[in-house]
Amino acid sequence: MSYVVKTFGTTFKYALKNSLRYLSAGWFIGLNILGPIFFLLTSWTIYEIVSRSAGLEWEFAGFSNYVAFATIGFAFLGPILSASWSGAEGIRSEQQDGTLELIFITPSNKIAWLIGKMMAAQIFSLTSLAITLITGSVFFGLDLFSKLNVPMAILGTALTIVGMSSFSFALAGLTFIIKRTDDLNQFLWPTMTFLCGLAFPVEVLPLGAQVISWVFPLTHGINITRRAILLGSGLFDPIIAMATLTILVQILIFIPIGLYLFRKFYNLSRKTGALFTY
Amino acid sequence: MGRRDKNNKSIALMLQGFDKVVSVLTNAIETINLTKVFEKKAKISSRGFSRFFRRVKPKKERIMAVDHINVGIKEGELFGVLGPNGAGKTTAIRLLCTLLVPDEGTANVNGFDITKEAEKVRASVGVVTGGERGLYWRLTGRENLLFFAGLYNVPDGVARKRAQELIELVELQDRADDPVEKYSRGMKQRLHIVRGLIHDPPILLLDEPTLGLDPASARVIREFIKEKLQKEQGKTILLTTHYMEEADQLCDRMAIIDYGKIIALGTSKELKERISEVEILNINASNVKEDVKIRLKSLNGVKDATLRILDSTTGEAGIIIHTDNAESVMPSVIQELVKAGVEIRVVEEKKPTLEDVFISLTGRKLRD
Amino acid sequence: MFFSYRISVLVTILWPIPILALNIYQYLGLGPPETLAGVIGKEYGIVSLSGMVIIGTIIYLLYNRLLWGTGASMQSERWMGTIDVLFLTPASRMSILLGNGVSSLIEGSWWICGVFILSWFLFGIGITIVSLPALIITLISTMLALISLGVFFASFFILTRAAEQVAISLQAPIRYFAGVAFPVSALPQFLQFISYILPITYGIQALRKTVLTGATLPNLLGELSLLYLFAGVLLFLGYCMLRIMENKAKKDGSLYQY
Repeated sequence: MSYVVKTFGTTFKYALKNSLRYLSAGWFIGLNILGPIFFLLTSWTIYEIVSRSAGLEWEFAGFSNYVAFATIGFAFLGPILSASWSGAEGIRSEQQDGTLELIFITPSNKIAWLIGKMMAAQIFSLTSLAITLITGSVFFGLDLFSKLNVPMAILGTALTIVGMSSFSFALAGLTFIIKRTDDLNQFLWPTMTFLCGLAFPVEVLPLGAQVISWVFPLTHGINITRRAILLGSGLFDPIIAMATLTILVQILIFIPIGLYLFRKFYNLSRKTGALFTY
Repeated sequence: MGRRDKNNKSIALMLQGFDKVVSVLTNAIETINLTKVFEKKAKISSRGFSRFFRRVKPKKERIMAVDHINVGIKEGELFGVLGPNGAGKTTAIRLLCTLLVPDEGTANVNGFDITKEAEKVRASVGVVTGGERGLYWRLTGRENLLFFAGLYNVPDGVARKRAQELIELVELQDRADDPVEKYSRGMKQRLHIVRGLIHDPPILLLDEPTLGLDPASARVIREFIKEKLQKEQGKTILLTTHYMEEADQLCDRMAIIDYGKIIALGTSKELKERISEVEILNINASNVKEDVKIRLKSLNGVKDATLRILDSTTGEAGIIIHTDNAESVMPSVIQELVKAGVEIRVVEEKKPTLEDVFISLTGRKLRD
Repeated sequence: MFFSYRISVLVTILWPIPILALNIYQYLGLGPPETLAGVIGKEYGIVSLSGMVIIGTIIYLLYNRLLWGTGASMQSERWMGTIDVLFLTPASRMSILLGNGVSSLIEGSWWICGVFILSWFLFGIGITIVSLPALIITLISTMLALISLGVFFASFFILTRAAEQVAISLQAPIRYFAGVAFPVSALPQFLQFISYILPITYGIQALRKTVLTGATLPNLLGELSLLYLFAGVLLFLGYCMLRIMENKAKKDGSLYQY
């Protein structure tokens, strides 16, 4: 067990160092800060257009401030990108750099290694999440903290990230064979951004799209976190309780599937030699 | 078959099996019918639009990358695998370090089966791949070593101490804390080698360790491998190369591989003797008279001597001596020539090279 | 290139659709469609909400394609280690960049058309094209201006690898200020000046007018002349910057670092 923990710790430490040296301030600001903030600004502008021109007041399921609603959603943009990219991107970049085979020659636990890499990526995304929330609060005067239910918000965020990580495992496994999972990622993150209730309630979507959105742990995780931050709700809120149960069930299903696919594709790549081609 | 014959056959089989067990137990690396086949799509022969409109199922082509290899490498041996590009050297290394699974056969590395005990094999080997890839460019040399030490479960204190020792061993101490992207090619190669040593494995698999290096750097690496790693530290080393001089210089024994098959196995001397029993001494001298030939032919160990006069005024000539052992006959030849008043300019021993061996076995050059 | 990766082909057309849909549904989430259409039509002269977003997105995709195809082509040459070999040839750097730009335009045009057609099918556009020449000239003028922008940025890609990071960082702000998801006139006055220094803004405005309101060439003179002005200025500046940056990169050796 200690070897597994050591593998995780070593990978986390050096992946973070590597990223900090690779990602200059400009890159970090661009990807993790400007992205969510400008999505937020777009939401604010659209709301201003509609409310100014049509005098419409917005209200949905207890939420009365649309920009606050969208702020919580877009704060998760960084974690979405990290959770869905970091596994597959981690494999792909190691393949390209020729370090993947050297990692796989070691007797270390590969899942622990992958989790270490993913968690290192999450440091940036969680920073992005915090900065987006602070920006919303400071520059848009949003009341994000007066009703905040801290434990529930932390739980919601953690469950979302863990749930989305299961996708990461499956995509990481696919990378061994397909090589171009950056194309899949390229499609996955906008799809989740659209479907999972970041910018508008999922109930606005056609029924078919709503059903698809329920498949993503992100949809339920954002729901929990939003209600915890803006309404101060806790586990006794039936909506939160239902969402928490759903996401837990999804984690119990997706993570084993993700791990199975990772192992399967890894073993297949050892048979076909796909481990070395990029 | 009579009873005696049956008994003899059983005894022979038992001895064979016994031999096998002994070799598995005493060899650091033992391959048993090790085979790897890759499949790739064959080229579609149709052209133009018909390719898009016809439902053409591409055939698969089977490429035998490693073909039933049986080799035993003793502990402490420096064993070479010599062959051209695409012969299967790297695939063999990848099989032995468990990055690939064999399609047939197996191997034992440090007593562990590569298919059933892969994790134990990984803990026993250090693999050096070389080249520009395989290092984290933005980490320093030291950080690269410490990272891999962590993955090999080397305790932190031990890892730091060992990293420092290894850095000093390859004379990288002045640059150990610089990012690897600033290293020269030779420095990266040295770092690759010590990265393979960070967990102090008993067995090293070196895949073309001097590829792309300038002659001076290559020589440093070769000396390091031979003197430090094999002689001082007693590591078992499997080295792949397509530089025959490197194999000649370093390896105790070697296998020549082509199209995945081992086509020759033995020491460098044994392999060269396969193609020639005669050794040649080439001597360039002046003041050579005709009777020198007779005098040389009468010497012990000289099979034949020929004279080629290059300049009759100066008496410059080329003398070619045929012998079984040029090394042992050389002193007496030189002594005789000096007695005859010949002024020796150049004495050169021409021996068959491994390239000659390869050509004789395959009909083509090592670098084709 | 795309035909060697089948997934790439499909994903290339599909990936902009969710982001485009996101913007459309942000409006729809705020009020009934009829109210919104009336609001936006009356206040900003836009007759089709989805058409407004789709056209903005198409021009933004074109901008991205030309930025990466022209300017960032130098970055990929650096990555592949071919930049020094390229610079050893006597070929004009401008012709290399313009060649890259035009080829990436041709390469990208099929999927931009694919995105346009798919979006039209999914969301409707409310097309009112009165003058086909106006449409063609608007598109060509926009492409010229964006190619020139790519050429201008190329010099920075030659000088430093950080230029790639800057370009990625600027994607979200440019998307916002160019008015991809809303009319630029909806922005606060003090922010609008940023929009009006971006050539992409005029491309979006001109194409929206042509496709959604049936504008003809005389109605587009303002936008078109600005697009040509940008094209000329950026090409000239790009040429000058290219020479300066190349010399600087050769002096400090950053040409070969990747």
